[in-house]
Amino acid sequence: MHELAIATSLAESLIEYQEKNAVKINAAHIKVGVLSGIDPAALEFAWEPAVANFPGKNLQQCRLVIELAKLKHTCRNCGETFEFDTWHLECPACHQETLKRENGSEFILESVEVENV
Amino acid sequence: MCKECGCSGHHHEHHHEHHHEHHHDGETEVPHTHTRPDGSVYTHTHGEKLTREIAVGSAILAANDSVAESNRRFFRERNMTVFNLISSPGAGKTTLLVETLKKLSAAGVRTAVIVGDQYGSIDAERMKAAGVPVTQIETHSSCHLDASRIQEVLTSAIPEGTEIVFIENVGNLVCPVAFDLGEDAKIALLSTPEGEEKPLKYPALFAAAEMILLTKCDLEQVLDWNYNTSVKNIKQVNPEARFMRISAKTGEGMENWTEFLLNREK
Repeated sequence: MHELAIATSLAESLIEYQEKNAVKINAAHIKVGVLSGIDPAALEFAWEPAVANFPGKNLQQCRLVIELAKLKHTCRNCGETFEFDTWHLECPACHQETLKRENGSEFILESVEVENV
Repeated sequence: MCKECGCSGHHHEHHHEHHHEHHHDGETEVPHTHTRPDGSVYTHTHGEKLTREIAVGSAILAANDSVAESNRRFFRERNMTVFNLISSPGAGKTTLLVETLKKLSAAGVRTAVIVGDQYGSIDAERMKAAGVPVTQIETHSSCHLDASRIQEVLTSAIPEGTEIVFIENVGNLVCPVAFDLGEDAKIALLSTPEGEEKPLKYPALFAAAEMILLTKCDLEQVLDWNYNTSVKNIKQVNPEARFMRISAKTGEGMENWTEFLLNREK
């Protein structure tokens, strides 16, 4: 259950952001790749206990909004590009097993919804 | 929301029967002016509760990644190649390493090992028998090594002159993948008893690994394990992965494996 470690790491960076920018974060928008080894449901489950480890840091109301990243693929044979929910090898256009996956391991804080404090 | 003027987040009470214009563009706090019924004018800004969305675009594991980069510099400066071995528990990491260390030592290659387990030092004791420096890290409740745990032991675990460093991660097919340790390459082990489908069921590791070792190949027939199916499944998630059959018990594949280790670019 490494999501607790990850949620804690996320909480730390959000707290740092809050203190540096004098804001309170109400929501954090996260993008997760399906090949990142991070399970969105487990991350959400871990979020509350992770935040509870930082009392007085004003993060208790912060929601996580987690989005799975689409996987971009480019065909090495015909050059077409595609987006799928999971990894693919066969190109839908030329039917060769020549798709190259461009992403999937990302784990990014895309944006924060903040209000001033 | 301010019930008077519709702006979000007034703390103060005020009455105004007038029209006024101000806008929030969602990004900035806009000072704006009101005229009181008595004709006096005041300007205020109410950004204090104004929710706005700000793009960040940063890696959430940036803290780990930056320690991993520092580890990587340590290894590069000393001209060491570093392999992070990851697999499920029981896939044969320790047995393979013991045999690998013996072979490399016999060839005059200086190695060092950092091994992570939740508890105990059984693996470290096994590998010390091969006569190389081995450092055990107990992760306790944690299911993976992270870059800081490696950083803590770097100078004590890795003697000057070491050429190849092995990090044997905690036996776990999922969690260790997310944490860069500063290695040159992740090596995944997939043992024949685990079956052929693991790359599809737990794709993250197999997508991230540079080399996938199909271990315990000596059990191929007894388990009715299919090499071609395993390779096909690996290629689904990682068309560029290298892979090889290996058996620490019979020695199959050991030559290819040590050749890979010695020739991997730093």
